[in-house]
Amino acid sequence: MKCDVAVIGSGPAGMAASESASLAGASVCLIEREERMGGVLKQCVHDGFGLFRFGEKLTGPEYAWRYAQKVRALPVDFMGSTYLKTVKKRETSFLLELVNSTHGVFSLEARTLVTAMGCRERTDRQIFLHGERPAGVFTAGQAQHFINIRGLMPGRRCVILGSGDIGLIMARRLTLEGAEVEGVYEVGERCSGLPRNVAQCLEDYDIPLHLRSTVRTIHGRERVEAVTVAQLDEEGHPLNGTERRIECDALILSVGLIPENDLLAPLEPEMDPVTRGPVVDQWGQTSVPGLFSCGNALQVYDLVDHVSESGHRAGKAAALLAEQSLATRAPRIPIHAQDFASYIVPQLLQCPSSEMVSMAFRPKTPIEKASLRIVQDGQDLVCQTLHWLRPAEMQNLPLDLSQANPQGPGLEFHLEQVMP
Amino acid sequence: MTKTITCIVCPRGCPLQLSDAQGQVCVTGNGCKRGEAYGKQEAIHPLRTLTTTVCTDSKEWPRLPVRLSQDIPLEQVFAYMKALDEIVARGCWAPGDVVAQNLLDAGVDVVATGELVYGS
Repeated sequence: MKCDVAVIGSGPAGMAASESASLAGASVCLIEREERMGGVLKQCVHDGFGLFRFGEKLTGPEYAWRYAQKVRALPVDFMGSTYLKTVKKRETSFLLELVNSTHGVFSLEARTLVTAMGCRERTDRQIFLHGERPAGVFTAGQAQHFINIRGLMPGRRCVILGSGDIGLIMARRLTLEGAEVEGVYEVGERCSGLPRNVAQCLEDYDIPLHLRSTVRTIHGRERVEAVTVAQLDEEGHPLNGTERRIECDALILSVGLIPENDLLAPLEPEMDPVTRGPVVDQWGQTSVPGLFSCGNALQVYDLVDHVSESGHRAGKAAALLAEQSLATRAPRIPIHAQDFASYIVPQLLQCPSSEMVSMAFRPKTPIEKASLRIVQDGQDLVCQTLHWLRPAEMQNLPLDLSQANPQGPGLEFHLEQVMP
Repeated sequence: MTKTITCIVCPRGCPLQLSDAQGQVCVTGNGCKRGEAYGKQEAIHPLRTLTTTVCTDSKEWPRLPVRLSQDIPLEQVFAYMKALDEIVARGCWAPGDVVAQNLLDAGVDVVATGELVYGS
């Protein structure tokens, strides 16, 4: 089998990439390991999606369905229940080895490849939780899958560790379904989820949020029987005498997401150690010609609207590149995050850039008033004032970088604190 | 008397100050018009959108995601959840289909938000 563009993963990023690649005239194969399109949106039954993209508050399944309908209306070859085994780079194409129950093991040759595998949740092992390994320890997404897809309750009395948005959403969801949520425990000094989720998921149901606190031990052999929590000092060490045993039958973890890019390893794209996704230009093209990345596989987004946007960009660019040849490539200059910017995506600027460049970043700490400057060779290309920046909220700004000199040195992306 | 709440209309989550000015609710701190409307409603009677799932007769997909056709009083959320427990959605569904009507005799319908296709 052959196609112009192969898209891996049919969550919001992959569906958007397939749509835009197909609309740009490319033949598209969309590969998905689950039966249905939509990715994690299918289990996100709460609303608040699509406010920017569709101008209304949609639930996850509604948002997924709207995109799935767009994809179904186009000549996109959707392959569900299909696993990608390996990817190889050839001179002007990618060779994918796939497996499904219809064709067995088969290969697909694609001129360009858009990777949209999304991200994975960090597990108890990755945060060094001590104790036995009884049943009843779930990530928030697992608990969400059990309740919303399978109709099964993960526990009756739950403790939530981590204050990511999915954890907050699950605190409410478990409460609505009749479970008791004893509290949410967060290691940091700030909640890592959105303020509105603290309001509508915790405060509405009187669920306490304990900052600078963590779960120290899980008790129980077969099933979780209790956990011990403790408060932490400034350095993150447990404070003596603050340990408290809480009887519960489930511990739900919402302790961070990691882009899922294992499949890319053999292609050896340059990776960003902060985002844990590949280094890309403004079209989502990685250091490997013809290989694109978008959505949560590129960087963990807060809003699905931005995930779709990154998919659209990558899909269209992959289609245009497939039409030409992989050899044609404009010069790219690096963009470096400085000062209070913890990272910047894209990390590369393909020149000339006549269209506005969508730039995503987070501040390292909350900043009331900040100045954003993009500097090349001592010259300001962009200078803006921003207000109320928080690490939990990604900034996604369209910026004009058309004045960047393709032969010049790299761009410095400065985010500085300004006295209000 | 002033009260500070977090606006839940959009992901920005503006901090809203609600104050009482001669019997009228005054909202400040809102970034848009929807925030003002939310703040006023919140001061009078908090309403929430309820989204959840209902039982289906499919073995493969035992839950269908749904929403209520209008926002409901916050204090009645559990009463609605109980009424939703009684519903079994039979057959195929697409987002927008009405699964059940007039819940709790309050004129509130149950609307599918997800797709359920048999044999897919």
